[in-house]
Amino acid sequence: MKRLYIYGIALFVAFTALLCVNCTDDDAGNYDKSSTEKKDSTIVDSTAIIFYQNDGIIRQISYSEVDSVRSPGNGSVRAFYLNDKRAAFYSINFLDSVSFNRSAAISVSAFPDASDFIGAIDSASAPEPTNVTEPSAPSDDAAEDYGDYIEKFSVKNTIIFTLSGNDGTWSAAPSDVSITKDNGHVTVKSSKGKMRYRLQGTTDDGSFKIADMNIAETDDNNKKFILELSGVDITNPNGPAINIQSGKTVLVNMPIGKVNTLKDGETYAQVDGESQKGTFFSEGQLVFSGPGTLNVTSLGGHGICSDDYIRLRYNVGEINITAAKDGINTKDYFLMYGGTVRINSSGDGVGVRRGGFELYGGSVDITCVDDGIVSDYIQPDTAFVKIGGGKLDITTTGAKGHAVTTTGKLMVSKGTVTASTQGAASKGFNAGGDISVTDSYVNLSTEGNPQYDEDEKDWSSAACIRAKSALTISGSDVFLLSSGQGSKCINAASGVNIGTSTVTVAAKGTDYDGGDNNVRSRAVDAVSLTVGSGTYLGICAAQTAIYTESSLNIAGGNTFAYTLSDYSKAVTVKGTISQTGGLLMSGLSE
Amino acid sequence: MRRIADSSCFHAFVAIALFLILAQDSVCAQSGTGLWTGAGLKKDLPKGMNAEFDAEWRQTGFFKETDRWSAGASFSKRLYRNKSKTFNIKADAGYKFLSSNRTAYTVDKRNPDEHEQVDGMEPQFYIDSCYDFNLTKAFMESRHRISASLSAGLEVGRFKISLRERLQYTYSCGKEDIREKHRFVESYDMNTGESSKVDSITFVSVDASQKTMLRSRISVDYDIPHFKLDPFVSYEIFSDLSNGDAFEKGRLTAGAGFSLKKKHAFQFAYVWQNTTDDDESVRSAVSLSYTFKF
Repeated sequence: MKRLYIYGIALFVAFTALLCVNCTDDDAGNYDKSSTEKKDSTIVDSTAIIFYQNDGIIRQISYSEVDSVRSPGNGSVRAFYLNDKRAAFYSINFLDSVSFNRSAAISVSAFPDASDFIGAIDSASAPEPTNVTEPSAPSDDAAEDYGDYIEKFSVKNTIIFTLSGNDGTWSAAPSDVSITKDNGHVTVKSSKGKMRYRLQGTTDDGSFKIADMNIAETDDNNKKFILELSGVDITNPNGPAINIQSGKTVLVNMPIGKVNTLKDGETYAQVDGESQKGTFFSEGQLVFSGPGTLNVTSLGGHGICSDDYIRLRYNVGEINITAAKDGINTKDYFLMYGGTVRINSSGDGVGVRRGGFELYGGSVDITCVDDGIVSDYIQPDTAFVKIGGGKLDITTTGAKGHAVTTTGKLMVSKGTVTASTQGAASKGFNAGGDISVTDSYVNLSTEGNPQYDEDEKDWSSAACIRAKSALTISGSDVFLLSSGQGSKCINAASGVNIGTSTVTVAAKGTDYDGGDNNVRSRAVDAVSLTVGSGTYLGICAAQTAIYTESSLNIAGGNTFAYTLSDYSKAVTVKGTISQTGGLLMSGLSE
Repeated sequence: MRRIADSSCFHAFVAIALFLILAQDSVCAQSGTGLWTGAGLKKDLPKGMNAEFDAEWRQTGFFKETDRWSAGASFSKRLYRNKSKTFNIKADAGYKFLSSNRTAYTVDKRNPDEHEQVDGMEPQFYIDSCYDFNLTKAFMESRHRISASLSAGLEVGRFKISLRERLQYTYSCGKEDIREKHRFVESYDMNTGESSKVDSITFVSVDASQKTMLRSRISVDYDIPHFKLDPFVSYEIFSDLSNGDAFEKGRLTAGAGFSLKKKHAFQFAYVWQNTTDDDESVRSAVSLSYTFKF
């Protein structure tokens, strides 16, 4: 019995001494899990630690998981270490109190697990897109885009073309308009302005062509006309169904209820001095209007192609394209304010060769082998992609078939983007310039493994976002999922700045064995990462969650970075970690 | 006996007037004959001077549509008269306010370049083609007229010959927003993608205008012995000085007049003009007038 007393006294003394030792270690920055916070923390019991934050958020950690509470050298942050792998960093300023409870009598939320992030990505659904109102027609007829507005175009003469079988007829034509036909192939030569050509009927071996009259540039107005697709079905086995060589604006109108079908052949009969690049080809601008439907099938070229620009007005109905090459191919730019465009192509979805892609309204649904949206002119100042509204849904299947790629800037503002890439080294967003995502919904997923790039002499890995310059995310809901080996969710060659957003990231793939070089799988791989206030950044990774070359800056919000691997570090920062607010919790998630 | 003669002349005047009215009424619609009626007050003043106030109502057709009405005053002065009173020279000046009926009319404003014909066909093949035009609606236009005349009269036997040169300036006030400019423009319905022609109407004014005329008239009266009804005939040439002294029209007037107790002067005549203009919309008219002298 005496022995028991002696043991008891010895244990009490030892425990008291240990407490004293730990207390003297305070300045060294280590708190035992049983220690209290400097503020109004109270030890009630030993089953949970509840964090009361002054932003109203209350969370808990199982007390048994906590190894220690430490204070870094600057004394402004408390770090809770769990099994030496998971840590929650709290700024003192953001903590009201820390309670150690046996049972939480109040409703609190546990810290999320990795499964929560994957579940959030799986259940994510795109909101209703925001359509930006198209600017009304300019009052000044000298304005650059005045000619795009069909409501400003005054028609003086209309010729109705009726195609039937391999024949074609037309209503009387005024002078300066000559019309010839070769069976069902109708050719119009006109130097007259204010014309409207209305097409109707069906031909299985015909076409409609506007010949180039070589009108002087001063007579541009005489080159513009309305091409009204009033329920026409044209199949040309040997070339474009519609071939516009006149070189200026064609206002393509599709009246309500009219379904139009255009189809080409696998090979085109070449004409000297003429380009024929698709089923619906125009040397000049193509501006689509009207709530009707246009179905385009191209077996030998692009679906719709312009050697100038293509614009879709806000009142466009449906355009459905199946193409052996690009669904839509244009030169100067692509601009869309409305309508529904569905593309299934073996090439790109929408290719802009020397300008930008701009979407402000409507929806674009692309399934293609190569890039979904591509604006890759060699001069990055000219090329760009701007999704300023509307909805984009892209699936690519080919290797390096990026969903959206540009050599210039990529801007998403008030946009809704969902993209899935399946091919090796494919990216969701791929930009040579800055990438900004503002007030938008973005859901990107990749499945591909890395691919060795012989030109670059390096491996190229798949990534949801590949930013060769800065990446900024604000005011947005972003979901990123990469499942291929050696893939990344965010792969940035510069800084990544996230603020006032919910960003959920899951990198399921493991490192890729590339022989001499392993291709690392990382959820976020950037030069630097800054998380601002109002941000919820949830990351889980098969291996590394966050890898930065330079710095990790936590200025606010809640950041959870989990690894699923016992052998990987959740967060690796080559430079410095700084925290001026918010929470960073990282570690192993079982 | 004189009372009987005067009375018979008056009755004859009324009968002729009624005959002219009834005879012309049935054909005036086709022939464009109007009825001009007038009444005046004339005051003889000393030294060969006269003051006159008159009002006039002109109609196209007979009691159907007002062509114009007017009211004015004039003053005349005899400048010279020979002792035998067979020759005199007189000058007068006057002002008249007129309210003239401007009938509605339409002017085709089609642009031939835009509405051309092909193979002689009307452009019915031009879908939705419509015609631009201007429609000027009917209105009463106010006008102000001042005039100055110099006339010479010569009596030869029972004939009285007179020559008159009158310079006349007229200011027409016009009317605001009375003219509709109809321009048919393409209207594209963004909801349906269909187009139609819509009449775009703008309103413009009929501008004020002015005109200076030189009116030269020769008149011959004949005094029938023992008969109060004196026939006359005159011819007047209107020259537009605003338009380089261009001949505008000629007016032939034939009729007769008589006086009752030297206070009441009646005159009826038939007026024929070679053309119409903005001053008179009829080529012929029956003219009836009465003047009270005091």
